[in-house]
Amino acid sequence: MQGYNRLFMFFLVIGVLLAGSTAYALVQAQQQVPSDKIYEQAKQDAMGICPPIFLRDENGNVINPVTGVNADVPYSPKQTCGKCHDYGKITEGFHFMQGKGEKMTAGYAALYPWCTTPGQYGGRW
Amino acid sequence: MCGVCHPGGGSLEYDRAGNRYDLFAKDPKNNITPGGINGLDGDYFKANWAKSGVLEADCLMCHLKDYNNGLRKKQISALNFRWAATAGAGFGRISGSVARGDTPTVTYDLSRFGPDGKVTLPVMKKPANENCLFCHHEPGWKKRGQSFSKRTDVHMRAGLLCVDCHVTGRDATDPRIYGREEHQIGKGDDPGDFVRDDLDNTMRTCEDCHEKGILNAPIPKHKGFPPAHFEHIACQTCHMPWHQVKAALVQDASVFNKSPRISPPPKRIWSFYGPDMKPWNYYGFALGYPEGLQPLTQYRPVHGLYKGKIYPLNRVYTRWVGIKTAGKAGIGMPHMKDIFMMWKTHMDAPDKNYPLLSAIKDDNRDGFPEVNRPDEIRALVASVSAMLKKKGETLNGRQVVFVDGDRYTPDGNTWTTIPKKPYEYSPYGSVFKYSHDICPAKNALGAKGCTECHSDKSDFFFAQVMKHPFDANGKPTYEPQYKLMGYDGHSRRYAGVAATTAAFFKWLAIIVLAGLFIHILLDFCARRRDIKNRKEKYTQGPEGEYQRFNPNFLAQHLLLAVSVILLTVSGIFLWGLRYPGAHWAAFLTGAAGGIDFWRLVHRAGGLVLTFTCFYHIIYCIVHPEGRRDFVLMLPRAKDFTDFFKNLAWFVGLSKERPRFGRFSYFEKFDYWAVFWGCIVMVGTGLAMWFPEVVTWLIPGITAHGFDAFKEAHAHEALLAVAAIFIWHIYNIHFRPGRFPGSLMWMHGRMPKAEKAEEHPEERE
Repeated sequence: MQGYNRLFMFFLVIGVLLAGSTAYALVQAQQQVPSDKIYEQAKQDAMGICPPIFLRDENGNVINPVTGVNADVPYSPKQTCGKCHDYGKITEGFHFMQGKGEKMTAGYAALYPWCTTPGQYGGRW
Repeated sequence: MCGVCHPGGGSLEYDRAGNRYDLFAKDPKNNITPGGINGLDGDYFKANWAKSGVLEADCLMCHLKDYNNGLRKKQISALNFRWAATAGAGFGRISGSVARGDTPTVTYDLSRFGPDGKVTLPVMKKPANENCLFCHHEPGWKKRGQSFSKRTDVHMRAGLLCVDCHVTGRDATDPRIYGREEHQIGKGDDPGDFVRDDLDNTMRTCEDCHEKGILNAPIPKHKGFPPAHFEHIACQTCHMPWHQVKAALVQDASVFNKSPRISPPPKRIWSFYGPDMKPWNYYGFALGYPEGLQPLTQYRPVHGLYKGKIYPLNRVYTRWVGIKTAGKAGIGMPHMKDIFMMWKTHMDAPDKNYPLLSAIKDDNRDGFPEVNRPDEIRALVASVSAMLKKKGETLNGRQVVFVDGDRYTPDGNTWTTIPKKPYEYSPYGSVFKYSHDICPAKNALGAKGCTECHSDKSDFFFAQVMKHPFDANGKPTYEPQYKLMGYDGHSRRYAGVAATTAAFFKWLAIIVLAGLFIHILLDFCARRRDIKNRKEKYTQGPEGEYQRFNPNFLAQHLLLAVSVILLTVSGIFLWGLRYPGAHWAAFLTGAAGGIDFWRLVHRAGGLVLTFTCFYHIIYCIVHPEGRRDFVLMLPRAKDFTDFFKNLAWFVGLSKERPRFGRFSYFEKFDYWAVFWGCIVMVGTGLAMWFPEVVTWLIPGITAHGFDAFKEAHAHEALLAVAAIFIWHIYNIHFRPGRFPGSLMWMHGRMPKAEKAEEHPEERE
């Protein structure tokens, strides 16, 4: 009986360790960038410029004017460039946002009560 | 139209709620009518997003070589938002216009595609300047006066890219914008721009390159420039003595601009005046030049104080009609098109439509009318009020006002001032720093000497800056530029260590000079009282002379006198530097060769003084009489008792003067005052002369530290000169019985009778 108890304790400890390490690995895996993405980023850095690419429309479909596939729609920069680049992060830049989402300072709001952002959409001469 | 310049994304892709415009407009449950009022929602008012599509961020607009922005703009003007990027990149030809009700089609240019249907893009990781100028050319010109051309800018001539300074991504060093694919472009700090002020000053600074030699930038020595210049003056202020491209100084929205080639017509409600205060038909003018080319118009930029530094600025003076609502902050504006239509209908039938506007005349005969007299202001205000009422707007609690710079009036007689920043004409008018178009260093202010700024003829302090564009006669009024730079003709007020130093030396001077003055007064009265006896004593004293000072002593005195004369005379001219903005001070600093000459004289005097100090120290160590005199110069108890005995004699409590030895207590005071003065003056003088050595000795010393040296030097100089002229000259020349003095400073001999009187305890 004593032998069974020891065996039970042995498997219990092993089980707890396994469960713990598995949970830890899962958490780590969620936090890490997938290795293929890291590889893609490394490739982009190594190349420095864009390789030949397919243009894509707003729905992400390939445009191929040579074969005539989807060749009557305009290309979408978001879908085409966004295939490799982080469009969302890039367009957070103030060149794109132009004040969108920014709060007015108290002084500015007092002068321009009709403005909702400090963007230059009118008001200041 | 915003999209003509803005590269898409953000507000051109998503509405205020974060919905993509076209998808939201297409969704039936949102009840968006194409081209409809749509609840006066600014995002959807009269828009046809479902058909036009949105303007996604067009990466290639910045990153593609030979991107054709003209084609992009054409598509945007046709409301073909979805097709604009395809046209701009040159991938294909677009037919049709959403604005005309078409559904545009695209015909791809097969020469741009490989056999597999892929495009090979000549992408520039760092955008070319031409791509940046797609958007920055026009707004960079009108009010910013920027050219970004090799003709006007040394950096462009050196082949720099915009992004070499406006760094981004992993080129940036500021953690606020550093990162992979980070597209916050390094920005400066524009007083007239409020977008992402939290990212101000993330770009490379002048110092980043020109102190470290980054991008092979030359490292200037700025030899001879006191450090205060770099603390108080921005680099571009001196390195832009002239500005080359005209910028609008006044934007007048109170009259109708009849100049040719202004398009679209509603822009006629704006009249511009250049830096010379002459009318400038900017829109018509700009149309005549290809993109990226501006004609040159040389003028002195205005210098103003912004965040503690002097910058070259363009402050835009604005004149417009506003609507003031009782109890509410800010001043509203009527719609631009309504003002335009008011003027247009008036001009179609002046006697019938808004006839009061006919009262507005061109008083100054410059070709543009101006609203400057009270009757003209009343005519404009009444006409705009009538126009608003005609439109059905009620003016209950609202009043039409005329806004002129930082003040507004309903009737031309009672004005209300609007609070503003010191560097602004008005809180509603933009202020732009001139940071581009830097001239070669050899042309910078100061390259030809200090008098380029430090003279009463210099524009730097005394240029006349426009204050109001139109007086009652339609003429501009001006004020001197030094006021805008924060100077008022008084000496600077310091804080911190410089203030403490200045206060210490000021009070030291006051106390010492007051003590000396009282001593002289008492001495003078006592000697006058006693003068008859003194004369008898002199005549009754021993005959002959004795050698009081040896040739070494006399040489030191002579050198000291020469240095003090040189330092005092040159110091008087240099003293003007302490009073920026004062005409008398500028006259001094610019007189007889100017600062450059007087600084040379001052330094020569300083060298003589320094040599004399070393001479004296060596003399005191090496020469037996030097050692003796130095020991005799040391203060001792007898000096204090002599002082009190002398005071008693001064006020008549004692009939006998104290019996002084070789050096009386006041001669010792004179000696030690000079000793202390030499240490302070030579020390601080050398520190100001060789700031780079001080920076090497005291790493991290700030400009405030140098200000402290300057204050100590100035106040101690004042004390020394005052002490010499009051104390030394009184004792040597004007003391009763002494006038006009003796030649003892040349031969070193003193009459024995005088010795018996003044130094009875001295051993010969």
